[in-house]
Amino acid sequence: MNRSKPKNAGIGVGYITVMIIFAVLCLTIFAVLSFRAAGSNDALNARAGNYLKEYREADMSAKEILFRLDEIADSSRNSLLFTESFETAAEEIDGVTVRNAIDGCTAEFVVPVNARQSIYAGVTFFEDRREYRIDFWKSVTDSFDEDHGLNVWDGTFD
Amino acid sequence: MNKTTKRPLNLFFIEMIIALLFFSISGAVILTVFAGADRKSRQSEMLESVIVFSESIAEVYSENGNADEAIKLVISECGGLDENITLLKNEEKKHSSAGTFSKLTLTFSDGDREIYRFTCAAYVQNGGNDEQI
Amino acid sequence: MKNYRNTSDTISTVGSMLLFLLFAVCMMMIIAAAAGSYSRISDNYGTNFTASASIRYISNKIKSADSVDVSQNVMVLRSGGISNVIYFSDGGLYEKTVAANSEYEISGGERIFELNGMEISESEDFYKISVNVGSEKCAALVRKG
Repeated sequence: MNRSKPKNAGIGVGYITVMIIFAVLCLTIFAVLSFRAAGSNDALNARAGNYLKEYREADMSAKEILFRLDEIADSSRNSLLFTESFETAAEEIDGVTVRNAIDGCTAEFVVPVNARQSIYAGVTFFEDRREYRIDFWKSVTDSFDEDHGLNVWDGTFD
Repeated sequence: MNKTTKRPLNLFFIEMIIALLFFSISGAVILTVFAGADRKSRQSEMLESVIVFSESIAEVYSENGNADEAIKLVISECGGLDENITLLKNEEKKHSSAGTFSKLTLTFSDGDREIYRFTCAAYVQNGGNDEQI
Repeated sequence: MKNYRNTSDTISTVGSMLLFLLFAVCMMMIIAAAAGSYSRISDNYGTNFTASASIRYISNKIKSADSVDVSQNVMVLRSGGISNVIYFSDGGLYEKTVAANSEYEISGGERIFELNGMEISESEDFYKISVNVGSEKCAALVRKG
């Protein structure tokens, strides 16, 4: 008869276990989500940091080219034929092409930043004055390449 | 009679103790994960501000080739960094008859931990050039 | 005797229920703290991303443009035969592409980032870009030319 008495003993066995499991599950999910969010933020900033390094490396190489070109222009002014002397010496630098401009020469060069981006610069050096003029100094993204288009049916049956 | 009343209560307490033991162990592990996530979040926030700061310094430095002026200008225009971050600079200069090519390496660290290091460059013509880059 | 036992049982029951309630409240508080921590980290991630990405987006646009005009927080970047108009309006950063040298209106652009504020100004040698995202303010300088 007295076996029905345990009903009065308050909280039954098992409720706390269920509650603990629920709480631990919730905490685990939040902890994993937090860790992933922090990890994504870290990865994003690491990529931004790497890009900045890559861009500045390329910019540094481009400026080193400018430094050498200016040095060449400076010494070419002492020679009789500025244009020829500058062109010959400048084109020895990797990636530099020179074309004639009014009163001087324009040197153009491309320095790759990464697989998709490059710094493209054009600087004009004058025969009669030391100052150079930067025509453009910009980052360009590699555009769509015609040679890599999709092969589609050309309308003929073989 | 007494036994039947007390047994569930004892069971309740035993269950609670076991549950608390389990919770304290798993809580310790979860807390470590949370602390790690929080630390990582703070570090990446620091890295992000350092990257934006570095980018501005590189832009100003490439214009004037003067590291101190570049840092001063960026701090005044864009605000400084967290006071725990230390900045080390190392400048190398190469002179020629035409001008000076200089490289600036900046190292940002938080205590012993290096946050970020990068190098930028500037070219300044002798006697100055109005269209310097 | 029976009365005494009943009272003792009631006290035990109420005590264990109170203990259970305390336990449940503590669990809820711990879960709420964990959710708050996750929310803070997640918000931080969103804020950082928006602030740095918007600044990087504008500075990359400046670096790849042929010419840049800035007036009253509106930036017009000309490149080839087109102009990109970048402006802040209605809590967002907008971009609009128009034919170069054509008239444009500061409306109808494509929303790129959600921002609380943006300022673009120019000095002799630099453009200054400042963005406000949430409580964070982020600024950067970009060289002209």
